[in-house]
Amino acid sequence: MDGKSNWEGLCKQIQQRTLQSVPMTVDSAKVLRSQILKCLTEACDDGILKHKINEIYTLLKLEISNQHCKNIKNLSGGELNFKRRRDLPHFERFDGSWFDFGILLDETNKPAIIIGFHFEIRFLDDNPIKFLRFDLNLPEHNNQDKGKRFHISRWAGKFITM
Amino acid sequence: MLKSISIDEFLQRIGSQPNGNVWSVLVVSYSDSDELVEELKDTISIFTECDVGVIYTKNEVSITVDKIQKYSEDYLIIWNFEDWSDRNWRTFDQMRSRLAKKRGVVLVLSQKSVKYMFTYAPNIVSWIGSRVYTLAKDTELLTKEERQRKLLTLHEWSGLSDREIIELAELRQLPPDPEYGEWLVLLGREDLIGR
Repeated sequence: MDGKSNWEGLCKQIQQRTLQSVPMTVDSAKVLRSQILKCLTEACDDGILKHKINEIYTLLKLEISNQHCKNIKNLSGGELNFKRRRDLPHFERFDGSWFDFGILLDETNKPAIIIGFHFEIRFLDDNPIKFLRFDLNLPEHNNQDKGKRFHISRWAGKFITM
Repeated sequence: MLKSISIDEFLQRIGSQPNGNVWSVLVVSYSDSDELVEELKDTISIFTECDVGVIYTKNEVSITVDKIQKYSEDYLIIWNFEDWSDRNWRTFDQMRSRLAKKRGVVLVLSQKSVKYMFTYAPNIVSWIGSRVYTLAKDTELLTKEERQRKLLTLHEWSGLSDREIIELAELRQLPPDPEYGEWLVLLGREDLIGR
């Protein structure tokens, strides 16, 4: 198998495994935020993240909007960073790779439903893979019919999305 | 002067506490207590990895003490001390030898009730030590400046205005990327997501 087919096969396996094993419902956005806060705090304590623990909660923010009939919240970890600027707030691992994420949750009914997310980790220059991105697109989109609502992207000389 | 603390910092402190009968106090306005207790019940269990019980005190100290002893949960949240008199607090203080939990307790008090505790329950105050905090509210929410910065980033990324995003969403032509959903939440138009 060449590099590309290796990658494509790996992506399919990861997608299938992720969709089967990751719960798409949570008790609430605040509970999910606390679970992530605990996970990231432990990662700091164990030296996996290069942060002081008081930096973690300043990077984890909730945006609440319930002005209409829906109750949707956005949980963000770090800033939106489309240009991959390292000077913007983000999480950083012990090996220098760095990441940010955002999770959209619909709390209109219980349990809350995760309706979209993005997560991107960027690696150092000596890594042949420059970044890895996981997305769950918003519901009722064409990709959903094609089984591509959840997809993984990477950059390794060229951009590949699965 | 009490130390002000966010709920995140409070949870991190609880998570790092050793096993033992560790008591803390959170001071909030009485009107906010109900919502805070609900949130603490869900989140303390995440950080302590043990079951958390809640005691709503009535104006009867011995019943509260009995509940502290009988509840099987290793961690307790106790609240509604508003009607406790100086005599109630003194009795509670005298019964302190019966106040033991495997992990710990957080008392949710108002400014009024924490003054009573400091004045009439000196042994419990000594026991709690410096773990008395006022709660800084809503620190987990985006500030106005952070919201504006996100919107600016989204404008630069897409080349679109807020008005254009709303029009596209109304026409069901919004691209599927999750960032567009985040954008609509920032604009208070979450009703346009996933229609």
